[in-house]
Amino acid sequence: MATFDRVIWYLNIAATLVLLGRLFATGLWRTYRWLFFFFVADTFQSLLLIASLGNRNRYAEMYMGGQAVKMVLSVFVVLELYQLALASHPALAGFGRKTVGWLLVGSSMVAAGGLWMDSSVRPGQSTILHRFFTVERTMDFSVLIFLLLICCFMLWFPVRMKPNVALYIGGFVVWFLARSFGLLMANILSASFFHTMSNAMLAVCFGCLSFWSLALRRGGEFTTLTVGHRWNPAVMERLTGQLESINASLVRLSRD
Amino acid sequence: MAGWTLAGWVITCGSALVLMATLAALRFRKDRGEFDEEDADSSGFTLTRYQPMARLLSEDDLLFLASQPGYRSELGARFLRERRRIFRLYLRDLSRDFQHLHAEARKIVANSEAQHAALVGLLLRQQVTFWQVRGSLELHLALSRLGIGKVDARRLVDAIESMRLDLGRVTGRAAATA
Repeated sequence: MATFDRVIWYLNIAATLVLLGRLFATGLWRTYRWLFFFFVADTFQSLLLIASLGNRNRYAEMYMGGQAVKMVLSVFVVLELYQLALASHPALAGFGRKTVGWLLVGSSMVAAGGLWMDSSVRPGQSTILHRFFTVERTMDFSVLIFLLLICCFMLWFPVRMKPNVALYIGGFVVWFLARSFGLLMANILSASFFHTMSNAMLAVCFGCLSFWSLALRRGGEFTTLTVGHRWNPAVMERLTGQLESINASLVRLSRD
Repeated sequence: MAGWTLAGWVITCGSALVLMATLAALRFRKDRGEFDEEDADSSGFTLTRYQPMARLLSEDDLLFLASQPGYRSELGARFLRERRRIFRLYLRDLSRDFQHLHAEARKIVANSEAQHAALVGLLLRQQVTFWQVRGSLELHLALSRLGIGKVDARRLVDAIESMRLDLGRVTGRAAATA
């Protein structure tokens, strides 16, 4: 392993440990449990990979096993995010609980639509590793789409989020974008670019870890409440009636 | 496909998607900014001011014009162009009013209790319907400009009350449990 590869990798491990320490020291690990478990698993995987450096097959097995665990944990991470973001909006949270399954299925189907892009294995590349990267990037892309849908939903409704949740979501959008794009490039470009893409992904992950370590804090758990626009059934009935009237008129017009 | 070619396509399409999403987000913020006032009041909204839309693209006026002495086809073409332009202005205002009302409804629902979760789905469906119909109308207008098909707004206002009953059932349940 080249010097720069090793340095960036060790920096990632150090940044992960710093983040875990911050989450534990501030007590935020109790609120963001799945995030905490995700990075604990990441640290364990890194330690096992260091121990497997002299054995390529063992290294590959540790990598794939660790990434498989993290892929499952990442689903729980985004579900935790979804729940935390809508916690202070009961109506939106209720709607979110009913639709989360459909959102996950939908984002998975969209992500699966990109499977063809790296269907052929490069000469000299391990078929198992290539296919694993394909599965991993598809999962990462699926999680990214889910996160983006959550962001669009929360931007569209005036949701006031805790600053920590916003940082959590923003960081993971960058994280999963880098992972899914980087793994796709690693699969389709020539072998000489593999280490470049790997280092680029590690660099982005290091950036996200550093960002979270600096930005996530206890004070970020408190938000100001939105004032005004409290529930008023008469106003709501009027508004929805007006909206449906407009749509009905436009529908009839478009049919003619 | 060669790796670099595919990589190029991925980067190009991804960049195009990001650009379109950014433009849409900027447009959305611009529209929202116009109505993001705490004391915005939509109670004065009425569809009555849009009654003229039903007639703007009707052929009756053009037929009458064509029957007048001295009529020329250029006059008819200009007449139709102006009417379509005015229709578009009305449509733009109607869209703006819809977004205004919808933004107000979203703010209320965002701060409401769990038993009103069904209204979230209703608002989503209304927005999707609006986008679909608006897109369809724009397409019809573009095609009619090329002389393909026609847009008859005669029954536009007739449909105003047609969905009130369905909506009243949903919002009546929500109001009763509030």
